[in-house]
Amino acid sequence: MKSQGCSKWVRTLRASEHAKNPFRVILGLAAVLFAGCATTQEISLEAPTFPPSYVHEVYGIEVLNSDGEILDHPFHGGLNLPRPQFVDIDGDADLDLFVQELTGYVKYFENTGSATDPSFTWRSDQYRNLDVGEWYRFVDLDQDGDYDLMGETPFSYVRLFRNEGTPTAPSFSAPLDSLRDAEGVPLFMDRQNIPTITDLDCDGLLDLFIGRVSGTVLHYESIGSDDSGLPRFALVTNRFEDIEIVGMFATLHGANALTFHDVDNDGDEDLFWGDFFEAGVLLIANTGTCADPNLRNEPIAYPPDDPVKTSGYNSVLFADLDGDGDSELLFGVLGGAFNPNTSAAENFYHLDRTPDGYTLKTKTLLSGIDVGADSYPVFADLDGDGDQDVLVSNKISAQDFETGEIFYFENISDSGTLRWQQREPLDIGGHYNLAPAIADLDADGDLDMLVGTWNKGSLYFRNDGTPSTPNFVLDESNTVTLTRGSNSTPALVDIDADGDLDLFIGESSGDLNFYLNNGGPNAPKFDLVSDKFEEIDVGRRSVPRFADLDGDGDQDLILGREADGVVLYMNQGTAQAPLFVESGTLPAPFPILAVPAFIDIDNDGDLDVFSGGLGGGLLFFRNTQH
Amino acid sequence: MIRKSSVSFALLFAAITGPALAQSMPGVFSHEVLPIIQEKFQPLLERETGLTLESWETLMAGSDHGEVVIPYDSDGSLLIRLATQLSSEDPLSMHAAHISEEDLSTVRSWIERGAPSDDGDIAYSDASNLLYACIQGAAQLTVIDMDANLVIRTIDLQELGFTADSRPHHVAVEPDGSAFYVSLIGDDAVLKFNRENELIDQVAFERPGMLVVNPAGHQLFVGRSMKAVNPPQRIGIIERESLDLEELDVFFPRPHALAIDPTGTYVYVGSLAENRMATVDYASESPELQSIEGDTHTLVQFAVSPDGQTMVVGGQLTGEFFFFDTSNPATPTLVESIKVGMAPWHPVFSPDGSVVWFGNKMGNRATVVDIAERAVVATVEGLSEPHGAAISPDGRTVYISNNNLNGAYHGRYTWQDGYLPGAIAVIDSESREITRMLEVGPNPTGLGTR
Repeated sequence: MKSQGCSKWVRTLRASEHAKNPFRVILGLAAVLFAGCATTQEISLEAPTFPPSYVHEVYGIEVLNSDGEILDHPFHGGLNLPRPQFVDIDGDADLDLFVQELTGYVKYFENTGSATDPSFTWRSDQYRNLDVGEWYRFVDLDQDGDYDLMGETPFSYVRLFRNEGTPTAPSFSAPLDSLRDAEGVPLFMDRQNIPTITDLDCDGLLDLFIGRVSGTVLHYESIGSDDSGLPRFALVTNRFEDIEIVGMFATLHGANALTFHDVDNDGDEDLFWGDFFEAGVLLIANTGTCADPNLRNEPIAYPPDDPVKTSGYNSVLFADLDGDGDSELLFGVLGGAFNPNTSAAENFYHLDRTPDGYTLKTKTLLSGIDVGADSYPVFADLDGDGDQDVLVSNKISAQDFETGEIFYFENISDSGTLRWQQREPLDIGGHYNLAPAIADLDADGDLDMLVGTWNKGSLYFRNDGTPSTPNFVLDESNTVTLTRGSNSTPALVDIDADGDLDLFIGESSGDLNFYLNNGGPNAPKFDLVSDKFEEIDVGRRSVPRFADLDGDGDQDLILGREADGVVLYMNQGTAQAPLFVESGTLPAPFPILAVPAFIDIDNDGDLDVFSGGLGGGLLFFRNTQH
Repeated sequence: MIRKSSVSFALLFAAITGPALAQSMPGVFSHEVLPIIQEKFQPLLERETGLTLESWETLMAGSDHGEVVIPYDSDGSLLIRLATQLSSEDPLSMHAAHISEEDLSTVRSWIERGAPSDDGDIAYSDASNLLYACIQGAAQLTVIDMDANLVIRTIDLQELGFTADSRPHHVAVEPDGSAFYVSLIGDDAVLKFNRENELIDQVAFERPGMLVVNPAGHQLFVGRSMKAVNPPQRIGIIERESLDLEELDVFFPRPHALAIDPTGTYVYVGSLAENRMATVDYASESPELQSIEGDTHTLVQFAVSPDGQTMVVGGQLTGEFFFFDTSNPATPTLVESIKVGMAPWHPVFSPDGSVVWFGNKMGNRATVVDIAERAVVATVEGLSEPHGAAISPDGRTVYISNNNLNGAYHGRYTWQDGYLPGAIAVIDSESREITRMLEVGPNPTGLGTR
């Protein structure tokens, strides 16, 4: 069903018109008025109070896990496929942390502790705004004593950001042209294969190693620089040490991540291999010398006495984080052939070196709110204590692959300190991509839920408990299904100020569905008005939210989506007769699969925003207007 | 018998297809080319049993092993490769030294003009049963005449502006053979070619993998390849006429295996990263998920029987082969699985639906499974990392591509720099014997035929 051309409820004026020429908005409105839409309201010509000003804060609210332990980085947004590297980027003699989660972005955590007692503090989600493509490596490529940055030029070539600063004050150049081989041909490396660089044979020349999907390794060696100063590499062999990683069956269709480290302290570097088809980490020992390496040895699962095992595709590194003189084993789990759902939340391993081997310290080196993938926050007073708690649902459980989950963080703030603590998840499941909308739908004084799902519509869970002890019971008779598509994301709002809650539902296609409540406040009956509400299409994965962002007493429409931020439709009508005007995007770096949730968390009179996203965590954008 | 087109027919299209058709040069072959081949090249061709150099027809008919000349592709023609690329370790290489640059140039030039007959005929111009093979290691597509079982054309993607690492991976063909589609996993694109092998359109698509044409509709469906750390969890739905693209979320990571039911209503998608598949009613944008028990299987590729009653898929890591009852295409039901050995790759049904063929990638063999018995009834040894599979319309011949990255197939020649050619195995479906190995460029992968 298409929306009517002249809806009673809303009009959409294009943001581009609004932004480029406000008079065109007026003309546009005049055109609508003259077209005979008698109920259309005049828009306010006063200057809006927008845009708000947001600051991304990783900290600011104390969050405890279910065991009462403080999460170090509660609002880093979650990690699904971390590619970490430790580098002393600021020359202060301790190791800083870089983590790539998304294509093009490297997060930077400065070590604000010490070389023996590190404390990582989030500084940026994209270090120096450098776009690294699908992978990155810090390495002193020009051997001038500071770290340069290598990354991918799409697709599958190599870009270099030369550090033109100093070891203590790095300054990176614009990306230089692709690295090339001795013949001037750009180096090609499949973008899913993360290379490594080291001076393996101790000849003063850097060696570049690229794993191939065939399980073999390309070996290049530096031959200096070209006229523009770009390093050049000559191919040494396309079958380095005749290495060919072949698992029990095939590995010929995969991806890998390589690193070298002298794990046995014998003066030469050993090779570590993570692979899409390998649940653990493989060690190929170097039984030669530094000057004459020999890696013609069988790969073994590492550590040999207790091999690690994950969902696969592990990106390994070693670092002495506690300054005790030995290197600890760390790796990010990118998720390979062994069900990445299991590692969507626990995927940054840290194993401490001991005389007897390794001891697992954590699977979440950067602890934060992380429910897996596709986090979906919603605020509500779930325990009836007068403050807003937060539910964060996910795509799929890490343990039960037949359901998603709804995690519950209770607001336990006291005077002056914002604090949440994770409690038992809600006992609601059996479906994926749970997307709750919470309100008192039957006017009995407690909160009910309408829960969107991956492909079973929006399910009505009536609260048969009390405001402080809810008991959500599925009422299948009131399921709201989409006319087509998946990923129902409901939002309840009294859009016509008639005293009952109406319903908007986003979906995978990016369209918006509108249902009018023709039942009333205690027995809602949602009748579909349009499954392409006002022809709004935000791309993919629309998530409607409503909030009075400009304080004018009516509800504005905010739409999360898969990419390119959160879209605003300011209500320039009234509470009774809204008129949504496309008004650009919210000025904050929302993640992929953005799911905004608005709340005045600091009680300063303006609405702050939390966002779920692909990473499974939450991002906190504090509104700094007040 | 060599099927050919006349010069007049060729010239009719010359303005469109450029070098794809010959110029009329009466007598050139007989007077200038054939004598050189007979005198200078013949010693190089001693292993090409069955080849006679009596005429243009016999030359273009090739040997027992396949073609020696590919029209328009001198670099890919065995004749030229023997003269220029043999390793010095190969005893035949001594004969190459006796071929002058001038003679070589004459023959090259003739091949680049399409290797025409004296009358200007171009061999296999009217071939009707075509097999398309992706040559992933050389940014090429190879066209095989399934009646002659010869390579008859080469499409060089670099000449069309794509990169050397464009990596054509899979191919799907229009039901009437009027066009075909190719996924480039290195250049992130899906290409459309017409039957004359002209590139007529393309669409950008991140990490495309398997392709399937809707036989009852106008869509092309596209899965994802491995070539990204985390490719989108969506399939592509491309309108074949316009190449307009939409993407549909299928919930799970790395959607790879892909098939469609014969009615064109349901698309089946399988994951490389978890034991899960989706049945997608694409019209309603509504996928239904389904889990498969057991260890991580890594579903490589589906095939649906011609009558639509059965679907099969192999598990790369477990070597299990699954049978689904698809009599209700909306709800495929797993009815049985059997062990079929290492890494079952792309399956293909015989036209009568009685058996399904596939290569065991790490087993260097092909396997034949009887659908009624749900049992392995034969294996064919002698392959080398078999990948794609196709079958001729009459069901008599099975084709399986061989990556041969490990060199298990040695071929008849030793090439410079240890070059390992790929190969397309031509298998008699009755005797289940390999009748010839067509040597092609490196790392052939997906095969497609109408």
